[in-house]
Amino acid sequence: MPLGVNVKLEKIQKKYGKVIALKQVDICINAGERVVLLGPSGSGKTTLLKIISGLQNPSEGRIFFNEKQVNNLSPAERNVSMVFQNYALYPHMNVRDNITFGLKMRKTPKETIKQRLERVVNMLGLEQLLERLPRELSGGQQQRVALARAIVKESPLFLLDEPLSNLDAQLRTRARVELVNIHKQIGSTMIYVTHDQIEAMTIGQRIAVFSDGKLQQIGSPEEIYHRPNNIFVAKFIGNPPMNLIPTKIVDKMLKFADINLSIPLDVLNKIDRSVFNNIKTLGIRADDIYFSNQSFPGSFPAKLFMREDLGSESILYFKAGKDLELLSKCKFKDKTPMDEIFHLRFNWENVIFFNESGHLINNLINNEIISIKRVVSY
Amino acid sequence: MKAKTKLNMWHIFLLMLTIIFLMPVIWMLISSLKPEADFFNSTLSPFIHPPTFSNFISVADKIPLVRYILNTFILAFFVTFLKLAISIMAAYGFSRFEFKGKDLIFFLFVCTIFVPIQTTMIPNYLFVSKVGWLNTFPGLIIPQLADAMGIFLLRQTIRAIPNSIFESAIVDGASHIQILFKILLPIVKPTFVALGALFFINTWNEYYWPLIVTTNKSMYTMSLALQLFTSQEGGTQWGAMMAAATITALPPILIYAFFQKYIVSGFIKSNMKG
Repeated sequence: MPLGVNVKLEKIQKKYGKVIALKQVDICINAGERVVLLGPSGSGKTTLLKIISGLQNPSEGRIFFNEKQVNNLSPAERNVSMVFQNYALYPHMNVRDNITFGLKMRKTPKETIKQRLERVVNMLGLEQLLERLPRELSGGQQQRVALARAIVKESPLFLLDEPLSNLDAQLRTRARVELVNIHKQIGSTMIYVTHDQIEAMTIGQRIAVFSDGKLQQIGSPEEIYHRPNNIFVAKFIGNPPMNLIPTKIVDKMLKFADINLSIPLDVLNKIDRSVFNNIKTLGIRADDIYFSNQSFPGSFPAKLFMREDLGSESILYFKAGKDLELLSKCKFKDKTPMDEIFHLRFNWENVIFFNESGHLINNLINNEIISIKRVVSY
Repeated sequence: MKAKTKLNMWHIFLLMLTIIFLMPVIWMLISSLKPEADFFNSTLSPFIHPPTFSNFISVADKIPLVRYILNTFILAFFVTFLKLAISIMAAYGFSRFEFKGKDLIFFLFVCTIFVPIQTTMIPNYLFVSKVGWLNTFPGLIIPQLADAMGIFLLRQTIRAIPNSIFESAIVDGASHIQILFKILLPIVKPTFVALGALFFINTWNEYYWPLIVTTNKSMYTMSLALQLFTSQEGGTQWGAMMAAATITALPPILIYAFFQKYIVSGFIKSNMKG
């Protein structure tokens, strides 16, 4: 089985005429790693994948596979395999020929082709479909053939461009798990493009978030979720998105909407005074806003005005102060009378701050990412 | 009930149209089987008693039939083959490559479709005669190759194919030639075959250009041979002429009948379903 290749992108830039599709992208991907390129449509993630594959050339920048520059190599010479969003199966070839076409083009010996075909067909359960034409297959089957076609080449770099987006929701969930399993079996480096954050969270060992052709953040799913680099990532990741509250610290008090909230002393002590004035936005996940019908020190009142039931849990929409909307979560079975006043408080452990330009303020405590470790006890 | 009546009305209308379209062909067929003497009967009877093949025999006597059929076939075959080859390659280039002035060049190509043959006839003739191609196959064939219709139609068909299919072939390591033969041609086959059939039929029926470049009777095509039966001496042999016309019309009709499926589907729907 192939060993993955390590991929290094250096200042990749792509322009179409005057439009800049990718701006100065630097990424290092380790051999055998599963990295997801995540972003809304038009963010440049597919363009980047095509640049890595060699189907497109960057306007500027360098691409290295295992420290070797590959800018001038064709996709075949780079030895990549790729799965396309619409599967791109050859419509006139049956499944067998579709899978083996790439191997034939490389003049692989017949015996080897046979062995590899057998292995991949077993892996994906395609035994019964070998003689069928693509149009005689269901969407899920076509997707598996497209995967098989990429796997059979045993190339060290596996590129996938939204491979699950044409499947229905049920199949997609299964295919996600299957994909991760397959990756563990083949061991190649895998770069996966998607706009679906759940796919990104479940598949990626690291996620690179793109927007407007710029790499916003790269990190583990946990990092991306809890410590978004900027407001874009905070809004884009997570459902519901992170609560972003315009705020400032005045006289050791947190001011937002028309609320003055005292910051617990041990939290306050850990914040570097010099960044007080930079704080413009507070970010907190719905999971970290607790509510109760009794008032506590450090809580503030808010009115429940909407509830979205999702089956196992519910999302609660509160209004605090004049018109600050805050989202919290509760168990589905919890009763929450509508239009009543509740008392909210923050789980200060997971509160983060952004500055005026929307970037995470990460020098709060000795240049460490803000992480106020101990929960404040009320 | 109402819908059915409407449908029947349509059928009657279409049947009448068919009869009008087929009339000359049927007339030609019947006439070719009539004895010469029956041509000038005062009654126009569509029925023949008894049919005779003597007209066909006299065609073979009068002109070198095999030679003319062969000439026409060689002409039609090479024009079809070369036009298809040029069209598929140019269409592939226009749809898959990026180069400077691509849109302008393609526009100019398409413009040539609207230039009537009469305007290019004389410059073409001058060129062909200068290079000494009068009365030769190159003279008959080469000027006919400049036709953008095939390029246009194939380009449209190729554009309907998802880009990723070509990208996938490139990732699989196929060269452009391999992509052309192993991916593109099988996919566009219906359009390609239909185009070939139309090229063949049109060239087979071509009259003006062979008339201009050939003076030597041994280079005549079938459509030119037909005029040999009208004579200035007043003795046009109508029976033989109709027989020759039948022979001339037969290959295009057979080809159309054989490839009809492709011709209809090739021009109506894209073949990329599923």
